[in-house]
Amino acid sequence: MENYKLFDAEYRFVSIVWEKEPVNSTELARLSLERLGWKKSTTYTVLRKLCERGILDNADAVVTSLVKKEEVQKYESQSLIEKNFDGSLPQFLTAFLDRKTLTAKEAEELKRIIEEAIQ
Amino acid sequence: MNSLMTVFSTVVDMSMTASYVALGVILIRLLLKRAPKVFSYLLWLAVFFRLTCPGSFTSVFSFLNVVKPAMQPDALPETLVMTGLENINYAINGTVNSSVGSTLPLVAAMGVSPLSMLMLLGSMVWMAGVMVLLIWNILSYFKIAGKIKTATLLDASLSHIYETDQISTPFVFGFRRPRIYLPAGISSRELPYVLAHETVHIQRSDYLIKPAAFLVLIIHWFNPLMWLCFTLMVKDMEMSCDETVIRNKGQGIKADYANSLLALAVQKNSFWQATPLAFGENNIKERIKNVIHYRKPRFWVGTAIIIVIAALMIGFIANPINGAATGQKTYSGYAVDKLLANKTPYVGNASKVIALIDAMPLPEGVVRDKVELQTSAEPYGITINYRINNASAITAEDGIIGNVFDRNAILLFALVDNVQIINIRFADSTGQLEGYSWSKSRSRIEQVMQGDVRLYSDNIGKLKEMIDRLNSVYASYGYTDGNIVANNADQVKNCLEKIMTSPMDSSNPYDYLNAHPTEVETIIAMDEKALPYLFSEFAKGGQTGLKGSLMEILCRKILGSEDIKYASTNHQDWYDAYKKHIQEITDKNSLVWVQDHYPKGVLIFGGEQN
Repeated sequence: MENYKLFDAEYRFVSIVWEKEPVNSTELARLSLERLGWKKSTTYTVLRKLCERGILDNADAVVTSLVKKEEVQKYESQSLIEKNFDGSLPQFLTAFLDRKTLTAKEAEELKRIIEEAIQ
Repeated sequence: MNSLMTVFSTVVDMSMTASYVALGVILIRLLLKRAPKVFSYLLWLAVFFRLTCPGSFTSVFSFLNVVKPAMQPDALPETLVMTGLENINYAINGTVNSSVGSTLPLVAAMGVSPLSMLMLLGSMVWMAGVMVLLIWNILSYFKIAGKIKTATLLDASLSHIYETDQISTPFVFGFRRPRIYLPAGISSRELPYVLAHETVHIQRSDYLIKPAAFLVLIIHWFNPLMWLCFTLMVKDMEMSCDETVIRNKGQGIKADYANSLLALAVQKNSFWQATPLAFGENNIKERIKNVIHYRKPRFWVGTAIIIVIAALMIGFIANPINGAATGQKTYSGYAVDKLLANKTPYVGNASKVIALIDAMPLPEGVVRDKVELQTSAEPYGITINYRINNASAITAEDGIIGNVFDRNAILLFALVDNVQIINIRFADSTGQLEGYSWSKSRSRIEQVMQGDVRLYSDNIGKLKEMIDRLNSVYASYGYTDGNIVANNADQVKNCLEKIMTSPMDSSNPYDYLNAHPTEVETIIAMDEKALPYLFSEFAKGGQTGLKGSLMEILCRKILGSEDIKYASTNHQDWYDAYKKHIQEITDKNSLVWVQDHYPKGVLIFGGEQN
């Protein structure tokens, strides 16, 4: 699970892959230069590292993601709660909802999520 | 190794001068406390100049007139040739002690005094320090470069602003294409101020100035005052940068700007390491105060400060005028203050050596030409070329005959610690002395002066004492004849006759010699120039009396290591035996070989070797 930890720059890079996959690695380098300001060498270094960690896959110069956006988000939010709220979801929610009101629709959705989690 | 010592002594000189200037700048900085910091930032230029330029222009307005009355302007480059030759071609009558430059260990070799050993050690320690700091900083540079490699564009339309979660403080990085790097997640409230601050840094080339200043600091790492200067300079740089942002964006942003500084305050980085330019760098308290108190100065106040600063800069950067203009004291023709001020442990310190040579008198009609320094291998030597422009120089009271050049050479041995050989060469437009040259070696001078002449360079009193002594040894005899050899002969003859006058009742030649120290010293000081006359007197034969005994003693003293082991019975027989010896080795080897190995002994063949 630990290898889902992505640095800021890696997350942005992988975001491009999620958006464009399957993407040719040359095209990916061009996009990285345009959006991230990366040199080609930087792009390939980061790509190689992410392939080694099993987050991306580069087969015949076609890059695809092995880990989906939702999984990374799940990991990120879990480690956030672990780190800052002693793993307690209620504590997190209290902090998050502090001075913030929910619409009826949002409250309805939350209820549903909690009920599903109990079963 | 020698060039290292040369560089080091130049660096130490620059550091000393820069320290005076730095103290001045620090003082003026205190007076400018309330003024915009851009002025004190500018002042550091003077220190920077002093730390990097060994020379300067001279001006009456130099502040250094106060602290360093005897500084020299730098040598003109065209007067100097550094020779990398293993050997100097010694003139035929050169006196080279063959043990010099042999494989003796450094300390045992002559001409290496404890002082130059210290210099050698010092220059090695200095170089090691420079290397360590340089490598340390290059490594930390690459470390940062690695960290920001994956920084991503903040906005695809702004090609020079990047953000990354690998850093904790915003800074400018890069030499050719400086870019602003932001830590990830800077709040939109702080962002415009951070960008404005870093942009000013880029506009003013601070990202180049700071590393350049740090490089100079590394070279002068042994000078604690320079570390202080660097710290203060960076402070002034940051504060004047803050001021520029306020000036550009208006007084209204002061509070927000100060809050941003506080929000982004960072810990001070390592003291030994140049840090990139950071927005929220150290000394936050001072910077916030400065931002709050900053007022754009009124036009005329600003102008006045600029004029004052310009004048101060000239004062700091100019060298004092020396010599006659400031009433340089001379002592029987020697600018003694200047001599002492330019005393150097090392031949390679070209500007000092030249200054020494030029602080000594020359006969009318003789001008100094090129000076060559032999610094790459022992024996370390100075070769001075003179041009004779009119014939009167040769016959003048204090001309070639008056031995002014010998006196000057001896003084150079006193004032340049590790010089081992001094060569004098003449180019003569009058034709009489074309190509004439001679050499003096330190060991020879020590025999003549009966001790280490360097002891005379301790203070002004000692130096004057030495000049007096040289003057009495080389008292002029008032020649009118232009022929050198004849003049030398006359001089020896006069001295010899004088020595023989007293004490009449003794038969011990040493009583005669002891009674006339000045005359004896004169003959010994003439060195090989006295030999042609002495040999020619022996060549007449029958020198078995008092004169013969005196001549034998003098000859053998001058010959020194070239003499043979021989117990004479009537003095004349020593001469005959010596001549036979020289003849034999000449037959066995060659005249050239003998000239090389017995430069004095070879004079026994008569002939005017000069």
